[in-house]
Amino acid sequence: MKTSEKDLRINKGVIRGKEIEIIVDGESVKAFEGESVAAALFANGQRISRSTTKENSLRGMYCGIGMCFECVMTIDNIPNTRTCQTFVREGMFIETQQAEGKWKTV
Amino acid sequence: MKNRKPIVIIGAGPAGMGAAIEAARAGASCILIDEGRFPGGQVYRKNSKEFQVKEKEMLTAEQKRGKKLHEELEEVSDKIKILTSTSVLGVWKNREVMWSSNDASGVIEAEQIIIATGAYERPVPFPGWTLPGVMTVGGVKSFIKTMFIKPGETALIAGTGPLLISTANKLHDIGVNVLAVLEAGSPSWASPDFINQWGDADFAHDIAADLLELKQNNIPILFNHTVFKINGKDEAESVTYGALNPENWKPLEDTTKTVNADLVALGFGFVPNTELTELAECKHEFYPGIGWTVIRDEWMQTSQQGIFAVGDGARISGAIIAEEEGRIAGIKAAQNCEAIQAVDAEKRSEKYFSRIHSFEKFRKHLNEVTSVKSGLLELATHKTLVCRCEEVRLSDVDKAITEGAGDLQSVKLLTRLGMGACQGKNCSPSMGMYLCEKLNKTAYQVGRINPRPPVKPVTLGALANMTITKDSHQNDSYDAINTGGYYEK
Ligand SMILES: Cc1cc2nc3c(=O)[nH]c(=O)nc-3n(C[C@H](O)[C@H](O)[C@H](O)COP(=O)(O)OP(=O)(O)OC[C@H]3O[C@@H](n4cnc5c(N)ncnc54)[C@H](O)[C@@H]3O)c2cc1C
Ligand code: FES
Repeated sequence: MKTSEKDLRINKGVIRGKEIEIIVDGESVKAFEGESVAAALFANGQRISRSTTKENSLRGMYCGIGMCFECVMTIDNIPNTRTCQTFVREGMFIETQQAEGKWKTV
Repeated sequence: MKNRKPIVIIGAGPAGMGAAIEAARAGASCILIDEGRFPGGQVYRKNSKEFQVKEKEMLTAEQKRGKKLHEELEEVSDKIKILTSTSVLGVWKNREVMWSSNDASGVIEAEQIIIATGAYERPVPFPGWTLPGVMTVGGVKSFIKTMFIKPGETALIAGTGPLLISTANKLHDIGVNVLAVLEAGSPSWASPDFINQWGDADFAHDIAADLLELKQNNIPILFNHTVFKINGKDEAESVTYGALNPENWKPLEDTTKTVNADLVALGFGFVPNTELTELAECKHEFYPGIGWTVIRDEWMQTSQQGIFAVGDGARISGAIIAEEEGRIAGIKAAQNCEAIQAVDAEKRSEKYFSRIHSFEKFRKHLNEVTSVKSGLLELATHKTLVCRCEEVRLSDVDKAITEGAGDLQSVKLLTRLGMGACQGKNCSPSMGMYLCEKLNKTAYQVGRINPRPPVKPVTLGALANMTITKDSHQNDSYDAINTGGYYEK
């Protein structure tokens, strides 16, 4: 598992769901059931979700409510998936999205 | 009441929950749809059911209201079909509602529709506002409330209105270093006078309590100040802020200071999310300081027969009024379905009307003192991105204007402004205001960027599996979706 020096989770007052592993850009990352994908990544110190089409600039979660599409990543081979509205699952395959992203057939 | 089509309620925030509770109590059949995993909307959002959260002994007034509303919905939940994790893609004036959920989708023919889709935070473009680490205050607040994760280490909060204060306190609670709250407006809503004047509205007490807590937390609040620029290579690293002219909120350039912060929470008030009422061709009007709002009669009925609009999605009035508006619409919709008589509807709604009236002046005042002023637009430079999705800069908009564009629609055609995934939500409020100022036109002349269905992303696979539901007894099409079970212990 990726050893990140960061774990920004707060454990006071809450017991999280089951600990699981998700795959982020090829590396295994710790997550807990009940977390959104964006939350699991933030907890791990990763706030960048994608780079833009025209200027290749970096973006991350902005509205948190599914409205702005800044948090989109490619999840299980489907690009443009809003990570603030998608919840983690064991073995979920997440990729930082470049531009429009690519649909992949497995 | 025979095989009637259902009342379809879109959005399960306080407005939609209120509507569903009353419609179900009146005996009407109803379907409540929300994109979220649980009912609750933005304020009363429930925690993930995988989490065990220790309830605080002392609930805030807001938490108490939320708890009560969830309990009321739970009581009637066997009478309502609750479809969560389900997005509404479009609503048409013949009262068809198109939805999708994972790889299923469908169209429901509704007897009545209640649109309760809430609001989103008003975008204010300025240099650096697209950097990761820059978020909306509401987004930050609900993120920490539901996910229990620090979104950053050192935060600066800027914008206008009471949500800034409660978010600052929440961040402080979880150990984030909150440098300051920058309120663009004057101290009016944060003064003892305000609380004295409006003390009978329970929301005024929430504000007073939050302000006291801010003081105890030693977080300074600077009035007539805001963020001018966010600096950083890949993510937010530092923030340049300064003073605003109190009259028009124009930035005063020689007042700036720069501090290190990796989290910037912005909240310049809310804009009603009217994409569905627009698709249904309901009439809208422009409300200075809020933006486009839905025209309704006293029962919350829009200009389209059988279609209601309630809560912040119709006009910004806050969670308490949203709930009462929802209740009124739920009762009236049940009457329109002949579940109850007119006299009964009057009786059931009486106290909700009186709550709204007692709150109206307060809300109007709060909206006035916290509504953005056009000087803020000067924060954007030529190079600032004004449309985040299509990466349109202010200079592109200026060029379009020089080429003769006189309204939002023609700016869109020339620049692609508003053509991206968010369908113009993050550019049209500020650019509408910009065009009005620059061309000396009214909001009606400048127009809007029209939403197109689907208003939410949907896969082709889901569309291929589309089913049509004509009455509420025909269940099979959405039985595939997870319905109910949210209130299980
Ligand atoms: C991020 C955020 C945080 C906020 N936090 C607070 C707070 O802490 N305190 C406070 O007083 N006010 C807060 N507000 C203001 C708040 O929105 C309202 O006062 C209150 O929640 C309004 O209630 P509502 O029912 O009108 O809308 P909401 O509570 O916003 O509920 C609308 C619901 O509609 C759903 N929806 C929208 N479109 C669709 C669609 N096409 N398909 C399916 N479902 C859809 C949404 O998922 C949402 O659950 C916040 C606003 C935002 C945007
Ligand atoms: S952060 Fe805006 S859609 Fe996810």
